[in-house]
Amino acid sequence: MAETRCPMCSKLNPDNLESCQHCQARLKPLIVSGDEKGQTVRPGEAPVKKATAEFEKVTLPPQSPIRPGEAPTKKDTGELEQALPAWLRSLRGQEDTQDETPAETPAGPVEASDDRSTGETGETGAGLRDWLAGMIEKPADEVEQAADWLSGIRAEATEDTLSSPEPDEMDQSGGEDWLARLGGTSEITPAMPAGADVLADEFDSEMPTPQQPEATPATEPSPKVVFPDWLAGLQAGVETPQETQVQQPGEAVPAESMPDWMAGLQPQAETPQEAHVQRPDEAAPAESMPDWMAGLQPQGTPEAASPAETPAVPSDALPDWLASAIRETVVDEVTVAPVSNKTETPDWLQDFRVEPSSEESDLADNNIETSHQPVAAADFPPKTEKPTEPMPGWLADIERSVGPSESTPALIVDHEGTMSGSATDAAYSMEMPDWINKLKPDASKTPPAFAGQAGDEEPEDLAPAELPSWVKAMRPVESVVAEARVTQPAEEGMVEQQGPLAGLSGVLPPSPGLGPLRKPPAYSITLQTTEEQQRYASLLEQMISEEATSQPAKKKKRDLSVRIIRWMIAAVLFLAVSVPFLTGVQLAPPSTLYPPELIAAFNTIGALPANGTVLLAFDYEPALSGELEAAAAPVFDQLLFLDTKLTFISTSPTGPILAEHFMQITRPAYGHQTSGEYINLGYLAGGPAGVLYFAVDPVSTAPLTVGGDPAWELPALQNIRTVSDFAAVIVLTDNADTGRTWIEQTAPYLGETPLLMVISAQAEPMIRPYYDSGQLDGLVTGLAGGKSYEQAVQMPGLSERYWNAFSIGLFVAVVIITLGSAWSLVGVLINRRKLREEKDVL
Amino acid sequence: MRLKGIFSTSIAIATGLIVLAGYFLALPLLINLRVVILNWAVILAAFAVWIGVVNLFAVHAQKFRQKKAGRFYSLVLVVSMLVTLIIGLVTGPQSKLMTGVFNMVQLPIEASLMAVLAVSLTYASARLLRRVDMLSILFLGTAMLVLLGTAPLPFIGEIPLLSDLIRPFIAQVLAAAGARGILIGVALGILTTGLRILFGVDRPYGGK
Repeated sequence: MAETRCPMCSKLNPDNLESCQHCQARLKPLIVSGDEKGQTVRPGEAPVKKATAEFEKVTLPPQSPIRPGEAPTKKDTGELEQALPAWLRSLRGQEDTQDETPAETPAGPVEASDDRSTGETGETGAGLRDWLAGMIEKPADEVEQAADWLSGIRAEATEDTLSSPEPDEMDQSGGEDWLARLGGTSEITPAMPAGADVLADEFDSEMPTPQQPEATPATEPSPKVVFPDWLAGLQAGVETPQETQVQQPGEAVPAESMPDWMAGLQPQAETPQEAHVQRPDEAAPAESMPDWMAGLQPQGTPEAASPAETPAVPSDALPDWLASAIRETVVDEVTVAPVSNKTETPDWLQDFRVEPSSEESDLADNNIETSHQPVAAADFPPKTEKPTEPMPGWLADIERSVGPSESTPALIVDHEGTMSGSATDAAYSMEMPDWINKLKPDASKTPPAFAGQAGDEEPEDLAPAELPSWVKAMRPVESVVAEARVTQPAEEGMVEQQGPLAGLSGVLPPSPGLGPLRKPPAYSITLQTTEEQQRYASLLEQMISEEATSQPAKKKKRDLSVRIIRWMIAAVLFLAVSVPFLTGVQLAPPSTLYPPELIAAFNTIGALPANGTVLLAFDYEPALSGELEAAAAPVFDQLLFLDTKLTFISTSPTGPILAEHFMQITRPAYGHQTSGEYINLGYLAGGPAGVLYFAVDPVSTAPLTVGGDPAWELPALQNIRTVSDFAAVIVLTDNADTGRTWIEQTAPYLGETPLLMVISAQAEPMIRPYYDSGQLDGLVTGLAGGKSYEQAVQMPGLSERYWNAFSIGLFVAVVIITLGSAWSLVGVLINRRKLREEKDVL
Repeated sequence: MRLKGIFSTSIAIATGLIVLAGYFLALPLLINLRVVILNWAVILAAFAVWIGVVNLFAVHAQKFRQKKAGRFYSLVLVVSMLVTLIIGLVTGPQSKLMTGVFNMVQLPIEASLMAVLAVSLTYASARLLRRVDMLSILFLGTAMLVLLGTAPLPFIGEIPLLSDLIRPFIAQVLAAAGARGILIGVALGILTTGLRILFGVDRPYGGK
């Protein structure tokens, strides 16, 4: 049992199956392209045997017969079924067994073979003569309808052949010559099917005007004279009044005898060239006819004698080459038959279905070779062909004269719609000649088929690949859809509603992408959750909703204990500071610490010249005046003890009055100087610029005292013109920036003048680096420094008064901080224990 | 760049270069120019203080006229300013009345604020460990050591190693080290700012 390899999965399947039993892919394509069967074997070329399964290849139909600029004619070929010629209908029964016939048949040879098929049938037996007799009895209108149908199919081919005549061949004459011309005209005569030759001239008149009218005479002569005797009786039946009318120049075919679409073409049909073709006076000369045809001439109407009518020659009178050419009829009929609807074949035509014998098949094969001659000539140079069999002269001329035919293949055979697998087997079971085996499509020459049939072009020698599942899963969707489309039965194919393929079903598969390829799978969007998950989700939703709702602002509850603690701390500190200050109780021991900077300051001041002028800058704020006054008081005591003259200046607006305040405090305590013994230069504006300006030119910077007197005319400042003329510069500040300004701006102009500072304890970290770097000559820091300085100079003062309060206050503060910290730690531990217990409870 | 910008920038750069050159070159011309420029700067700064006082008076006076919130305090400020100004202009800055106003008003107020600050800092330190973390403990421990080492404690006196070693080490090494770093950063910032102004990159006088 023959097996067919699946084009998709490459597995073997029984040949009678239409779909792969493994992958369900369609084994037999829906459409047979004429391109695949266009591989011809030229005369003399040894045919190569090939598998008949190759004819099941499905390719795209050939190019459209509609020419550029020509509007497509709407045709419903289903209506033309009744117009099929008798002989064609009789042969339609043979379609199932002759599918091996190439679908792509050039138009010219088709007509020639059609013409000669009549002769062949007459030659093969009485049965064929019977169907010819039926054709004789066919009413003229049916014949016309058949011609309509056929002319619509081969209009393109006719024009092409008319446009390329061979003038040299027309000059031939004689019995063999006319046959030679007949053979020669096989390429230039219009592609008319057998049986339709009677009305061929009608459609010739309706065809577009040929570009080269010289081609027309080549088609005219022979039909007039090649009517055999047995066709003489047909003349009367063939020559219908319609034909006579059509063949008259300027007359149109009656509308009722032709389809609508043909009627529309009628007014533009008869061009002078066509009329010239159809005029009887331009027919071939009588000497070009054989003798046996000469007697027929008076009987036949010249207009009815188309070249297609000539082949009805007795088989005895036909040469061998002509007999082989007549075999082409069978092939051409097969190529034409699928256009009509098989089911509409009349019953009376069923009797004419004759199964071709092996001999007929051989003849048909030869005709196929002849019919494909133009294609072969186009593909291969004719000179390279070496015919192995003797070829008649006219056929040789054909081979030489035939160029690449641009005619459109006559028809596309849809085998799937009409043939079953068993019928195909029966048709291919006969012994095929070798040249048919050469018709195996060449992959390199085969035009690319459409996507749905891409898999059919895989060579057989390729090992079938077993795709892994993951590779199959990665196949593009188009391939899957195409596979699914191929598996659809041919009956589900679309029926063309318009155009030249109107009425045909399954000819053109729907292109991928025109519509939804497949319905996407539906997935459920319902979330599958368990009850526990739903419970958690509800809890989460509740929590989120609670967070989203605004909570009323809780009125901050005043913590009474905090307020009490604050007041208690303030009270304790106040008492700790005030009681020693007020009572004078000495609870704190004297300081025994003498920092080096303090000692340096003490030594520097102690080294100042007597009666020298010392510049004192009061650059501190009133808030820290208590600390700085206490710290600076012993320094002033030492200065006054040395009988130095004091000059005050300040970069702070409150500085001048602070200086006055300081002198008011210290003067009663020491009593060394009166108010007239110091000079207050007032406020020095400009910040760093003012300090610099004062360092450069103090006279210009502060020319007046606070009281408005000329400062530099006073005895204390008479010898002072620059900052370096002062005996020492002492800066009293609580601000590190201010101290830095004085250091940076005056240092270049001080020269040997020492720069000392009395600073607040808070400014010590920032000022001390300048002392360490040598830019400061001494430093007294805070109340502790003042206390130590007092002890150094042995002059009790403000520091002594503040010292007990200061010491007790520090001690109390440390105790409060310690107690508070311990309380805080206990509270923290308690809270952590509570949290731990709460966690343990949870 | 507009002409105004060019003009102001040129003046700023020229002034800066003259003053800077005066530090390195002892030329009389440069010194005199620098003195003049510095004098202008001092005058402008003093005038700026006066402008600030006038602006403060205007703002609070307008606030009182418009009856905004806190207008009472604005009224007190305006009245106090006018009274002090009048006293100072009439009696002079060194008069007893003027000194008495300062000693009895401004000085106690500012000193009281500092005393309140001492109480607040003590209370905050006591509650510092309510949030137990490493920085809080470190900060509180450092403060305690400095306080205890600053002065001799009542009835105890100076704590050995704390007053003469630990406290000086904290104040003179650790704190000075941090302060030096800050000072170096400040110096570099001032240098960069001065150069940017000299190059015209920063034009605070021109609006940029």
